[in-house]
Amino acid sequence: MGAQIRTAKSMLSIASRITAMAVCALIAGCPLATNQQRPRSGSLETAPLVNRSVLLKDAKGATLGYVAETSASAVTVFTISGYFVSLSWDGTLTDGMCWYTGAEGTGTPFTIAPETDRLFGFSVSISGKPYVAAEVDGNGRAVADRSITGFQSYHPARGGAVDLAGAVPAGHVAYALRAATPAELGLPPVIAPLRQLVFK
Amino acid sequence: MAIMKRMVFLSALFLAVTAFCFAQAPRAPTITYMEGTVTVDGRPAAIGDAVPLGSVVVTSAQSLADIEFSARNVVRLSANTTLVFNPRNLLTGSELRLGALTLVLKNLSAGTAAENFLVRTPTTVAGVRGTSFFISVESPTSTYVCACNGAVQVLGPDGSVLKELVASHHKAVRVTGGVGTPQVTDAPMLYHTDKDLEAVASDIGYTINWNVVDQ
Repeated sequence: MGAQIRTAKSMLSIASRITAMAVCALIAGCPLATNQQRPRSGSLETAPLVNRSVLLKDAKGATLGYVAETSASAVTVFTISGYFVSLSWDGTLTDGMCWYTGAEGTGTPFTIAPETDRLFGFSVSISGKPYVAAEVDGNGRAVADRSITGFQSYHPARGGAVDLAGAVPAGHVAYALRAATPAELGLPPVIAPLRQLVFK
Repeated sequence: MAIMKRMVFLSALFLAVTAFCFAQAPRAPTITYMEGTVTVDGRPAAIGDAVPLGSVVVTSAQSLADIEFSARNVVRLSANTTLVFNPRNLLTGSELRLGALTLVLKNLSAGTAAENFLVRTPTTVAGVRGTSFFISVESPTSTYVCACNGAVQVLGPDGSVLKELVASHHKAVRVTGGVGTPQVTDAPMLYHTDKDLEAVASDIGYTINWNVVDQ
């Protein structure tokens, strides 16, 4: 099949096509990541966590990864390094949230997820800086840090840290985070606005 | 030839009127997306299934379900959730027995008997009017309620207002103590993210403006 290229102006209009492809993939039994927080199990080599038919490039032609999920404001790609990364259409990392063991955004940053979830290729942006799971097992899944049972502050996706303490809820576990570089995530140092979706 | 033209015109008119009528007809609550195992009144559900008012919807572990109703309202059931779906019954409201709901409500007056939407849990009742909010039953004696973008009235079991939450970007409380002695305390953001809300809102083609309170 020949490749088709679309410009940014038509990206939103083809979001429905991506959805349709996702549905087709699901019908065909192909595992597909539909939520960054709920990745499926598998390994990088053998398990296509995403439908590997839509590749995202920025305006300078740099490959960012396979498209896992789209919305009007953001797109989640599965990078060549095996991370799910959420990007705004202007090319900036989409901020998520994290919790801290210390007050005012100090101490160890971590994320909280249901015990039954398996965080594969997890990444999150906090104030524009990427973070990944501090400990990962041989299959690329984040390892929970059960010594973390509560938090003193948290950082919502918008604004600064909020000092409001709490416990990791029942049925949930904490995953310690560490800062990462764009190169580690498999991204160029600077991402130009997103412009091309390449259908393979 | 004139008769032919008239027949074509009448056929086109008929099709247009039919299409208009279907477009205006209120759509029954429907499961528009799901993952994993979901049942409606004990029967396995699938995307496209109708959800009758008063039915019991259950999601299993690692499952979720989106129910759209009245065109621009959507409720997402998280994993391990049991909901008695009853958006039209304003006396008892919908009943969240277990688990968590994410709701984006943009068209309540058209589909409900009034403008409010109620979610009843073992410890509280959340009443909303066109807003995005999250509610989770943490235990039989604790409910977590977050006004993610909009206004939520947190009511006691007797209908008295315990707290009014108004926020453009998440304001949460925890209601504890059980029937008769509810205590309301501020709570941190838990269980859900902006991305979760945005994903649910996109089901109905709505984009949340996190800078403005949706009321």
